[in-house]
Amino acid sequence: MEDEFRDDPWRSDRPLGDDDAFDLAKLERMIASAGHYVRPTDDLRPRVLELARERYGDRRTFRRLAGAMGVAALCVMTGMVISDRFQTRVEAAGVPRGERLERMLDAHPTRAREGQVAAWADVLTDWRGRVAASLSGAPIDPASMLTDSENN
Amino acid sequence: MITSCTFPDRVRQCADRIAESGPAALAGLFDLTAQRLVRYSVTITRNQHDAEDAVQGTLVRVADTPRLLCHADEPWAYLLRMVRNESLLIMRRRKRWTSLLSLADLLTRRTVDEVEVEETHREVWAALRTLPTEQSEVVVLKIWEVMNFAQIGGVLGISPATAASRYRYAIEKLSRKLIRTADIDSTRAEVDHGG
Repeated sequence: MEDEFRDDPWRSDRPLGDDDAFDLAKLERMIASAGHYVRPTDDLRPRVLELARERYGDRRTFRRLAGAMGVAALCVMTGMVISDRFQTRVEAAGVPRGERLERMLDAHPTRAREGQVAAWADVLTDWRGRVAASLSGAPIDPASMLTDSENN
Repeated sequence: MITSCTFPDRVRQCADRIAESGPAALAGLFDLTAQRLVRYSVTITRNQHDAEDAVQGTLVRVADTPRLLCHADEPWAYLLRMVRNESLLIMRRRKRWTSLLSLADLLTRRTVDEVEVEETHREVWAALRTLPTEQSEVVVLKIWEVMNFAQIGGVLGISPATAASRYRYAIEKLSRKLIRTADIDSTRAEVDHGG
């Protein structure tokens, strides 16, 4: 079917009409000669090129912005992780007080044997020893700290 | 060494250059195709302003995504399809009332010593505007783009038989409108040669 139309049975001198024999080729030539009659306006070219350049620039800006936001998000996440670890060390290094101190006193074996004051002294001595060790680089055992966050 | 380079090949080369160099290379594609795209789009939109908007939208899209053309089997037919789709979108959005007989919107080439030829051209364009769009498209692609019916069917999304049928009806209508013009032109040519 395609080959039949590729051969184009409408070409050349086969007349079209019934009464007046009309030269199809002449008609096609007339139409073909009008093909260059219409031309684009002079401002179409600069308009098209300018718009294409603007859109290219916008896409580049968007890509850079997206990249910068990705880097910023990564920095924020990294900061949060570091801050969280730092917070743990800071809390552990803080002077025990309030409920935290009470829990430490309750858990200390000296309290039952020798009373609250002796237990306080022992708890604070232990705490100072652990802080000194952590400042020298030894790892802190979270189980020994009884921080508020761990009990919540 | 001379290598023959068809028009579709040149369109593909322009697309490849845009893919390599970005929108700076769009000028080459514009210079190669703009006039043909505008004249095709005008047959759909019936308005040169809308036709140029369609061509602008199409070429900017090509600059955004040049691989659309680079990877097409027939880049020129693909570009014509893009312009056609853009033209139809604009037609639907704007719903412009256009006088079929007016050619006032067209920007034309005019030479001082070819007034009679210009008159013939205007009659051809006016006659094309009296055809339904589906028929005038086929005529434009057949005669101005020198496509066969299979290629026309590919651009318009119709079968070659339908394209041929529309062409037949279009030519019959155009022959009735333009036969007198053709005869006058022949007579004029004879007088010029005889005198």
